[in-house]
Amino acid sequence: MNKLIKFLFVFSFFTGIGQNSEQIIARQGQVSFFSYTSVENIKAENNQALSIIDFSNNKIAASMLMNAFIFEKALMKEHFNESYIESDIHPKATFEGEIIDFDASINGIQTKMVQGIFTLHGISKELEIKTDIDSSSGKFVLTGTFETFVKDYDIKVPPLLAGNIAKTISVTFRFEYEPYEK
Amino acid sequence: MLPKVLPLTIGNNIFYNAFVLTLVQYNRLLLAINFILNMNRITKRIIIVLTILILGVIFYWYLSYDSHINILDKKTEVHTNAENLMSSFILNKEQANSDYKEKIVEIKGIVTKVSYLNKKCTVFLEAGKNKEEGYIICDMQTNQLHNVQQIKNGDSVLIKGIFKGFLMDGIMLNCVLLNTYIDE
Repeated sequence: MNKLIKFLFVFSFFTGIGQNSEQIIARQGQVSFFSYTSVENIKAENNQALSIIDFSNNKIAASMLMNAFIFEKALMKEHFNESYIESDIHPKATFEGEIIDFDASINGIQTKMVQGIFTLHGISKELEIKTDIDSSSGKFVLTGTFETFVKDYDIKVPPLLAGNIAKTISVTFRFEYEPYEK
Repeated sequence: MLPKVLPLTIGNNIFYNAFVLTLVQYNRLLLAINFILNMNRITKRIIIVLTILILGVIFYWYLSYDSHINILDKKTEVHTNAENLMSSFILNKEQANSDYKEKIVEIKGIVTKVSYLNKKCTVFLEAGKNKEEGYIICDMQTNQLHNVQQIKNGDSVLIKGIFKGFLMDGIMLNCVLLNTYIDE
């Protein structure tokens, strides 16, 4: 029994190393969000989102720094970081999930669902996001859009500014991956 | 409207003086209100429209304050190099965040990669001998394109920008190239 445990341990260790070569990484993922209202349109962009995909189990993880979002106006950025997201307390947004039925060997575009948990402002929500995976250029490129509710993440918008911020925020992402060598 | 005793009491009783002065001010306020009420409609409307316009302009100016920052105008708060920055993060994340986060940092490092992804110009600085230790990712200001095109992998550079924090790598925004030391 002991030997079996040892064997399993060693085996998992070796497969663990093997998995590393099947990981791909994106250090310059682009994540942007939009809020459209009749009063004003707010757009912000983050170009340094990090994401890793593990081909062995189709797991995907992404994280980004909230204070690295770029806004058109300084005031929007200030409100976003200080009042809404409170980026000093919750500096990151993260996503951990799995690409359902993903086949890395297919060359070209495939549309898949990504299921996972998205954490923002300290609140985790289960999300299902449709994504296009394009591997025709030799690199894996993940793109997609999803909508999310402001109120789901316990973000308090003062009544005076309620008209300026949409109830649903649309999020767009684009991750371009390269092999992850350790 | 004012009490006739006014000239006699000035200088005698502070409280009474204050009372009289308040009365005078109140009187003036009433006069001003009367003035506005007695104005003809057109003047009134013009004044209201002008006030709204001025407030609107101030509000718009306040809102449209551009987020563009010129980093060269700002004073450097921390001088460091890429390896030190990364090792301080590996040693103590919280300390590193409080030392560098949102600070204007001048950083020295060796270029490992220059990327033009997403119409942006980004310089990757080597932050350790092992690749797993990550990089310092410097998102350059748009006016830096010409300068960045001059540098090659392996060059030693000095970059100034706002340090934003760590994911797997250190992230800096609004970066400018200060100096290049080629073949050091």
